[in-house]
Amino acid sequence: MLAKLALRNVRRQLGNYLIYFITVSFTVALMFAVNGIIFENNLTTRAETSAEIKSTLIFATVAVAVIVAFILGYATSYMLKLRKREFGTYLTLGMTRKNILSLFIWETLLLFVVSLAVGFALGLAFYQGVTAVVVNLMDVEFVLSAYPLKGALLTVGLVALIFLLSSLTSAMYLMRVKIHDLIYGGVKSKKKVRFPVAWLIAAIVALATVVVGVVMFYKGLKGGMDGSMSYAAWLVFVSIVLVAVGVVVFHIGLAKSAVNLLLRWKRFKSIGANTFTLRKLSEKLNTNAVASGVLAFLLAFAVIGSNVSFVMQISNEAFVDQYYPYDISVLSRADDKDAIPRDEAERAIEKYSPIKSREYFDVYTDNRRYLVDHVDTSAPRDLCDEYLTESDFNRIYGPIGFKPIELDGGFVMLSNIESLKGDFTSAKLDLCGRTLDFKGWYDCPEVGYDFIAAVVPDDAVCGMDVYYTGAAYMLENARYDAMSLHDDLLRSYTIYFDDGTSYEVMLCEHSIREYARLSRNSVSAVFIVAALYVAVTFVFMVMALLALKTLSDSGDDKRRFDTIYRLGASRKDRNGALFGQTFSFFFMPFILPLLLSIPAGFICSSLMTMMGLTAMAGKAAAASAVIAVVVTAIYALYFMSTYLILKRNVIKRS
Amino acid sequence: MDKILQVKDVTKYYNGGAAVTKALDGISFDVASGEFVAVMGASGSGKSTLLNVISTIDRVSSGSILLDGCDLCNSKENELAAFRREKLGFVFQDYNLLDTLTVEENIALPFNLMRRSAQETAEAVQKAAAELGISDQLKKFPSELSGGQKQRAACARAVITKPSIILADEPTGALDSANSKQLMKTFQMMNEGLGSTILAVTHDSSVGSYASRVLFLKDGKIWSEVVRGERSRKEMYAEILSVTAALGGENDAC
Repeated sequence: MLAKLALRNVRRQLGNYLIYFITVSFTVALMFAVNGIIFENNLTTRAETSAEIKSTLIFATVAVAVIVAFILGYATSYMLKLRKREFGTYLTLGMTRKNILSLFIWETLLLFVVSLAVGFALGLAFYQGVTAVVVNLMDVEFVLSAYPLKGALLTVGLVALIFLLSSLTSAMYLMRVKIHDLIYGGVKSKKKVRFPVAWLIAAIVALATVVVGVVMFYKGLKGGMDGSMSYAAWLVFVSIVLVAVGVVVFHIGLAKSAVNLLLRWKRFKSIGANTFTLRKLSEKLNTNAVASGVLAFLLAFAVIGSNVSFVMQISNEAFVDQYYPYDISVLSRADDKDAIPRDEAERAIEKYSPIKSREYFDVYTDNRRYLVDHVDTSAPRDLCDEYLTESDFNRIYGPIGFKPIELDGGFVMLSNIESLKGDFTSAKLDLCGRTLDFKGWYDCPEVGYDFIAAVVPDDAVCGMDVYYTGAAYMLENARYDAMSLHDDLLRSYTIYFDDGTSYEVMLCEHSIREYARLSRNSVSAVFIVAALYVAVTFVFMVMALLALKTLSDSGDDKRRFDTIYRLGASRKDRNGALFGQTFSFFFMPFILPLLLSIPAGFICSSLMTMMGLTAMAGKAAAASAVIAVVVTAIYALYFMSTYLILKRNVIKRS
Repeated sequence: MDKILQVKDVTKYYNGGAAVTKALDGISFDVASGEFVAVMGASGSGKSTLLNVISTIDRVSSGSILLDGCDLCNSKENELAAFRREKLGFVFQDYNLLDTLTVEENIALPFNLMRRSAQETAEAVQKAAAELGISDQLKKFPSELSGGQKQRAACARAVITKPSIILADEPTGALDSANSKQLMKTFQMMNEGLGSTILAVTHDSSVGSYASRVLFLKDGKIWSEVVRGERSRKEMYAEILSVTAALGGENDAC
């Protein structure tokens, strides 16, 4: 009987449940798609770190499910509020609390089952879409694949978890609430907001904290990248905590102060329905201040996460192009007897692609540490100064677009790491009876040297030992199975420690551009999917929560707007008041996350510049702007839908 | 005396699917300036419908309603809003005070909607609050007031714009007898002291006894009318009771 009543109730309450239903369905669909990717072996085994990818994604999807459960639990309480009187009537008619609870659980279960079905159907389409995105990011061939069963099972399990956790809140409420409060509504004493000025100060301090956090984050990141800061990781961690706390406190402070301070502005509040709007807004923001702060945090996470993931992607290609100018290059220690012989390596390479061109060169050493000590006296003791001859330099770097070097009777230092570029202004090299003056730094990728090296005239290396033998190749094929080539070029390498112990590792000395591209793409694809999944789900949750909260107040709003209608408020006044209160409530948690797009764009663009990817800096800033516009557009769409439903309920019927 | 309100042959049908209900059946009456008219009748007699069409919340099916000579039946929505703002004051059974606003803000709301200056509004609020005896309650929220205080706040909101007519819908419906009596004295003061014209719909015979004229509605028509004239309130009360009894008696006979 309860199931029948539940079915009838859901059908009757379809309008009220619509936003809830859409949100659950979309969340299930997203979860279904991402879970499918986790268990799609063809995709995840491509990535070098497939085990880590799986566990990262499973962690992300479970963490999201728990957050979704709590947010939906909160949203469900709004649905209950909408139907207080109905449940009160059931109780007065003799139904037990257990009956009511069963009824509500049945209804929610029904909704979840339908959402699960719709979510699965929608999720299949999403899955193919997400698969297409992932294979595109990983740059592998797209195959329309069957959905993995394990993904479906994980989704069902997570939806069950969400259902149980979100029902818990409702159950607790229904078991405790008084019948009188259900029928007549609890006595809500209007609390004046206390200390709005103090809250404003808190908001300002929180905003300053966010600014400081962003600056610290930038400095930490910069310091970490150029190696100039030993505590960079800590700085980044502290800055993230500061930004998170700042975002939450700023929104709580703003919610408790802004409107209340406006209410003190007599001239403003006496215009039209301003007092009416501000008072309602003040009450709503005050009671939802903490929720507003938390939602702002989730939105900030969504905006920043999307920014970082997009930047990762756009930097990949440029990074590979910049740091891997040759298709394959190798630098082997001349005294390393275990290195793969050159002809053997070339045979391995030619199994995958013919070699179009090849350059061989040597890097020399005089076994001194004059150059190394100029940069870092604490560098490992087995590092010696490296020299590349002028003709070798021009032969290696000329074909990849670097202008010929002019030594002008001196020497030029090579490095592409800013922190290694020490002060060489007074440095002089005495080589083969000649004294060479320092002529400057030359920024180029590490094809013909390791960390730092000096380019010297060809005759300045007389009598020196060969330190490294090097080769650089251009291949006929741009795309080939670089993963397998990498495996073929792996060799065992023994690392000896000062205490006499040793450790054997498998390594590939060859820098393979295509392998680097695929590896980076695999990792960033996972990161992007996880970040976008979390971001989209958070945006959905925030919007659904705001929409449900707004709509759950529509009964009260209708009564209020009926009153001002009778008092002669024009339609324009009423529409304006409803729009103002809904817009402000909706967009309040969005202020800082949206503003954070600006520093996010700046930081991402600076990161690109720091990495030497100047051409990508503009793209990074543009990506931030696009993310901000897209999230705002989705937000505006949700807001407009909510506003129009509310307007139909509140204004038209007046 | 000037006729503030003229209700001419007003009919109102409600279309509830297959059934059509005639809520008002060709009602005509006038209210003069400064008059206090009560409308009484049993449930379903058409009292609330009459109040709704006069207050422009509902439209008539036929007939016309003139307030200060303006025909309300042919006015556009914006004109009706302006009319409610400037010409009407409302006192509702459940006060209809906005619980998110302080008493002061509730009273000021009609002035705000009329875009009056903050200074002018503040002065008008103080004056209305003083007249209704709630000057010391202005900073409170409605939830902090007693029923009687809430209704006096609603009265202050109704008189602040000095409307042509104050419409009251079961104003004592939510009050105990002591507060009802107090409110009716307030109405009397508003009517005699402030010169407000009042049209009140009520079930309560004692409310009717304060009026200068009582219209009795039955089945959407004016069934009877009692005019106070020189009679005392007690005599008026007795007359109302006898008409009410006759009204009920006829019902029994039917």
